[in-house]
Amino acid sequence: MTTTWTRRDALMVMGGSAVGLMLSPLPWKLLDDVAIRTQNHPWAVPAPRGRRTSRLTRCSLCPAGCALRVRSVNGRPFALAPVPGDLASRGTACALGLGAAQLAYHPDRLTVPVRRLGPAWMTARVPVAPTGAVHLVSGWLRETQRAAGPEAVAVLDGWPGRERSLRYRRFLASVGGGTYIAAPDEGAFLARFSGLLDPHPGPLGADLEHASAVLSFGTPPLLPMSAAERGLTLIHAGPRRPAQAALADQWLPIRPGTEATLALALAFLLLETPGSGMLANLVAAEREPLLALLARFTPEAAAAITGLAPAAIGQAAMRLRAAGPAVALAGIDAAAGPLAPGDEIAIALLGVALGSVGRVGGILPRAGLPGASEDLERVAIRDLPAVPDGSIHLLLLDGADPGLALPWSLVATKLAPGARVVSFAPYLSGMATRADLIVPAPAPLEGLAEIPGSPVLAQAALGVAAPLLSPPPGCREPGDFLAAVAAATGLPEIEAAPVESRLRRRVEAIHRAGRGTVIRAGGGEASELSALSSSADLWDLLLAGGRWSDAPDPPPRLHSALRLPPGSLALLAAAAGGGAGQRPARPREVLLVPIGIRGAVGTGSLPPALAKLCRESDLWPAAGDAFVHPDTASALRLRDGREAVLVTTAGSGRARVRIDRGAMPGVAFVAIGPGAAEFGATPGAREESLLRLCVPAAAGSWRVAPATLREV
Amino acid sequence: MSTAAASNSRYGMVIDLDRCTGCGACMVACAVENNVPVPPPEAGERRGITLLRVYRAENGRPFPEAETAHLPIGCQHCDEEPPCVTVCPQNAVEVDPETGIVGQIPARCLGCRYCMAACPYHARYFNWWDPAWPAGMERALNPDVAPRVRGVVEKCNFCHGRLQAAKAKAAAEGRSELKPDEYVPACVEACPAGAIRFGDLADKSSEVARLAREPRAFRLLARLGTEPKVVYLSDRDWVRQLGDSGGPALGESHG
Repeated sequence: MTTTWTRRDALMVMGGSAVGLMLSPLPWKLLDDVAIRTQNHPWAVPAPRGRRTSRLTRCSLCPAGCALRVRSVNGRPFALAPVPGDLASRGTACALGLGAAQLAYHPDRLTVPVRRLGPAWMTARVPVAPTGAVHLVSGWLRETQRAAGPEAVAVLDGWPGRERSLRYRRFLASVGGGTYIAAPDEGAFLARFSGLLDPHPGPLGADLEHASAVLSFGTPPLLPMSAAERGLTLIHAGPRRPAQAALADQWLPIRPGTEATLALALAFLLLETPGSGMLANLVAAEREPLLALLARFTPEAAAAITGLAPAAIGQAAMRLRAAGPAVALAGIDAAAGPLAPGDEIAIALLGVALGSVGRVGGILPRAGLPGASEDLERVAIRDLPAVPDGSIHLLLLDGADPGLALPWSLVATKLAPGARVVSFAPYLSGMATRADLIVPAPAPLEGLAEIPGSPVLAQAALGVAAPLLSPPPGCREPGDFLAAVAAATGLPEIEAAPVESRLRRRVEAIHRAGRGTVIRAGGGEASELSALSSSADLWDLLLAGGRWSDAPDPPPRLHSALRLPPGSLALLAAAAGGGAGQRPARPREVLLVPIGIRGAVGTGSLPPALAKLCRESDLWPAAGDAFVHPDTASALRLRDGREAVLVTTAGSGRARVRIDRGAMPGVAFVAIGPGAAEFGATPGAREESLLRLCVPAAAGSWRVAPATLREV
Repeated sequence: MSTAAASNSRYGMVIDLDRCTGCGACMVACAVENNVPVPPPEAGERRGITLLRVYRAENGRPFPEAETAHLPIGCQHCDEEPPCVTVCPQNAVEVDPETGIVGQIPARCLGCRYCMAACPYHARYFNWWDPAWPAGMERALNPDVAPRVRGVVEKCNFCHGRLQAAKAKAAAEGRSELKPDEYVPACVEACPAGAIRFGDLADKSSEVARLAREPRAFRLLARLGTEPKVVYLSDRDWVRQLGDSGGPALGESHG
């Protein structure tokens, strides 16, 4: 039998084969391979290959100085992680610190000095050679000295107390007496408290290691981890519960600007306690009028002003009384800054009523860092509000970012017309955008940095962050730059020794003092400093992520009484009467309260991973969002997500309305940072922070301002 | 399909929502560990890669009784019939029988996104763009994790690179078993509140197994029967109701 193939048969076989092929794994395998191949595009970024190392260090972004384990590839850090064995940070680190390895690559990073072209409103900048930058500043310095005297040269230090701060003061001393300004920080309240005590006890600190309760007005201080483990009672008073107070035992939701009222009401209750014996602590000269003022603030009267229930005030007083050693602190809000002087006096009075002055677990004299204040009396530290308006002709802005906001308007009023501004920020962001010249400093991880402990704590501390990356050649330590400027101007020479040798001297001074304890980042118990045979051992320990903490002798009993400076009672009465807070003056007004998270509202830039988090979630309030209560939104005809115009006496700006049931009625909580949506955008295209709408008072407080909010 | 029967370990997480403060440290640590890039600005809020995402939820009460809870949600590593495994035409999702970890294999993924549609937890993300980092940062990526390219889906894999590294270290030391704390994902390590615990749920004596048996423990969408290996803890009733999505509060969540 013969088989004949027709054309039909051939077509059928071909068709059948095609169908069969489709049912076989072959085409799918081909598809799979194509998919794999297309995923290996030559332009796709491969993971780096090379030698991996790991070491311990400390975070230099804030005074907490958390221990970090750094993993590097080819000497480049790529990930930071907390160290569980560290006795100081107990295995914790914040989101900002965990992303710090990315900060050196931020799109805003500057690697060479840049100078602004034209007037202040222009954003165009051109690179300047490092020597050119020195001569430029030297020329401005000569001009200023000639026209307005040495005191018209000023440094605004973002993080006072560091070795870099000492060099600023030495430079100002060589100028002939320039103005050294310390940016507001957590220590401001305790400095004021010290000034109210007689005899003057010197610097004070809170002994939070041994306190049983903390009442925090504003953002709570960085609590030692041991305090949290001991079960310290934390009471937070403020119109909004910040993230740092999320685990507080009690929240006292007071109306904005009524901190003094609550403090006086609590002082009234505590002094009223039979046998409290605290009346003796009130200075005799002011005692009667002060008591008369206190008597006005019964819980009921205070409740009417603060918006709290009288029972809540009583409960807080009972908790503070029952807890043992308790401390009342005026915290500094990351966005809203320090409290007004009247509020701070009231809180200091509450501290006296609590009996916390000179008591273990209370407010104690604070010994400074050994070797930290040599021959610097010629240049005193000044607060920004104390600087006369229009008096600064050359302002040098430190680039350190302690993570706290500072309205530019507060700085600008101190500048003379045509004043020059030089910034030492590593990034073209925040306040640096106002500068005529930016001389970039090393970014975090790029330079050796010391981390003095929190100025709130009674125990001084020091950690050191080892340099893990080389800074770009155009970056320069501000102190080195100023030494070059001094030389170019013909000023007396300021020390040109590198940071390491100066820090080593400080470590030698600590070792000589022989006080305190040291811990190793890798774990183990704290040991006495005296057990280390040489300062070199201490230096090595600190470079490996260790930390030194002071352990002062048993505190002397402070026989201090409150001495209120002239005018304090009037300040106190005005603040306790509700000040700028309470309720909006007009029906369609709200109270503007700036909010933000420490580290995300200052002059620095966010690590890319954190900018991503802020952009893609609302865990952190985003710049420009205004949170209002539904009733307030309804009264003002505002809708969620819509754009609205916010107007204060300082100007107007656009905000996005966010309806939030947790917001206090009558208040608009306006986020001033982070501006994550602007990550990678050119600085000129950015929205200016709504912080400019806050109205700083003469005393340097900008916590609350009346405003109108109208939907566009 | 039950993966538990064949497995030696069942790695899982227990997240205490009463401890979580929503600080975001876990999200940052996750992004850094897994070489997750910042998407371009046009990505908006929803098209970036967030292998672990912390949602904010409110109790719906007015001021001052309003309360907030933060709910970290990543892949739940379903133990029973993971929906993403069932629907994947490419076998790009596999359950490791040794560990119980639901792994995503980007090299096999075609980008059809069936798994994204199937996942009841919205814990999977599609790479809409080729990864890009600020200049110079590509040299400072995690060498243990390959960046994924445009067109593939990804999700939390309990930091698989860390598991491999721990296994390699154990092997180098002549051990076949990992020590309990030798392998932890980056989010667990980063949480400053100690809210996230990690371990072997199959080991009844482990801390996570003990916590998972507590009366305040709950799982997300437990009624679906997917038996997630991520367990949540809370003393607050309204927070526990979040696990059942029918509760009003989940509708309040942002993120």
